[in-house]
Amino acid sequence: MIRALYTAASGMSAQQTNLDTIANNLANSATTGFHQRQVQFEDMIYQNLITPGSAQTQQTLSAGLQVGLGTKSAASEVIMTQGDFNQTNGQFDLAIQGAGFFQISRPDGTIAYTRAGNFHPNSQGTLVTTDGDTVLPAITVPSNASNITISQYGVVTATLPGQSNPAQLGTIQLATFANPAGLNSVGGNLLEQTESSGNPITDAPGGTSGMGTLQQGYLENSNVDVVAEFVQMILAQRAYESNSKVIHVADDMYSQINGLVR
Amino acid sequence: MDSGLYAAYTGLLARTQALDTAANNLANAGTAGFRAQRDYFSGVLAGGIDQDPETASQVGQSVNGFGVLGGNRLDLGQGEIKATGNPLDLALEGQGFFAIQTTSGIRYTRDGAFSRSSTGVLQTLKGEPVLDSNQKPITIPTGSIYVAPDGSISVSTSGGNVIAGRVGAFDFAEKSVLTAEGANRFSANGAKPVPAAASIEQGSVEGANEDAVHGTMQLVLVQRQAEMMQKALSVFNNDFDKTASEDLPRV
Repeated sequence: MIRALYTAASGMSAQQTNLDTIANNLANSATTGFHQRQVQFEDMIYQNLITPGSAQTQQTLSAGLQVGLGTKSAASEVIMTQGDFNQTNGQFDLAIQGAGFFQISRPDGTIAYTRAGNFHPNSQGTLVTTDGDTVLPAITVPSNASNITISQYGVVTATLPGQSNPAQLGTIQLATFANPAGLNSVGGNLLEQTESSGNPITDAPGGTSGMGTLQQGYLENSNVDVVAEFVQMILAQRAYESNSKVIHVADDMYSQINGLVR
Repeated sequence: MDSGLYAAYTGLLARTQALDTAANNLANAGTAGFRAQRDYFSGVLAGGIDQDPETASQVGQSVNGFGVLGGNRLDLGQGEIKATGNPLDLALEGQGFFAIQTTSGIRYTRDGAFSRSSTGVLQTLKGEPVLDSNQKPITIPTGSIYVAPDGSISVSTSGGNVIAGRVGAFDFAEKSVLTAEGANRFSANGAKPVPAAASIEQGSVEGANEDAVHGTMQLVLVQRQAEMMQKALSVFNNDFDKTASEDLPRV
């Protein structure tokens, strides 16, 4: 019965983590390039009160008596499905159709990865994110360039004054990972590589290593399904409630046993 | 008289254990691939001289047949299948288990939230390799993944379609060999698995097979039965003993 109290408490704390994740998904439902997370739970260890297969009073028991000790959150899995495309007509807005991440150079020199393609040129004409971090490989767009086109294979071209043919300014490269779900979210729409994600494989969009292609003038919305998240929220609330009922029953039985003593 | 007191006591004790199981089932209602445990009660003839049910008296049997918690069995019914959209989330439909390689040997699970490791090996969220039908790890090349209902994984890479392997689904002739170990795993305790007839659904994860209605019913039953035992105990405790110790000497 003491076990039941702790078991129910573990269920309540797991549902709290679940609700925290749902809240973050809903809060980011309008964040460009955001991928929703889903908490995975696992059962805790079991106490074997009677070991299955043990002999008791001449007959062998076909099943034992195992009491589980509750649940805990095991992982929050990133759901890597494609988000909807939102047409912005911004000439530096890019969406990735398929697998891959943009490579971003952060001020400390490390590389981070993102699906959010809302870029713009900074004062030097270098393509940067909204936070001012450089998109790799660095592409400089002269201020007098016009008709900037970014092809689905990442080639950036522009018409420069006094030239009839468009000039190539560079090629945007994407990175993929063996296990993209193993990337570490660090906020600011950025992800970091980890031991579990593996090393990045970089290539031009549409390249041989299964890389997605680029769409100029579009941004990828978050892949949060608001309706599904609301359903998850209701389920989390009810699961929390039923675990609290277990605590109530355990408490009730306790008080009855205490009541036996006159 | 005392015998009845102990019968009510074991009954109450068994209900507190049953509450533990009900609590665990409800706490894990959101755990992927969780199999609920169902208690069963059994009668135990308490250690009289005459234990043989053939020759024991009817009165002796009914008075000494204590209701204890006999054990619990895994409920192997299907859990609800939840779509996630991740290509490596696999749900089993029908009886069977995925086999995974853990540090303590091969274990079985219904939690199909898998991913690809940094070296391309199909693994659980804890990093344990998922085994194929020959109980060997599966390496998946990069590319878009399609998993057929029989578990065959085909990947369309730049060099064309490749069959990466076949996820194994295993079952056991004697289901009671399985014991829950926690972390969504079951140990078969050395029993040999046979191929399962289950089909595999890609992009979904199977939830727990404990539903709130059953769990709550179980709670209410345990609570009311415990109340009954407590009433019985207090009758022995208050009324009988009081009569014996206080009222009788006065006669």
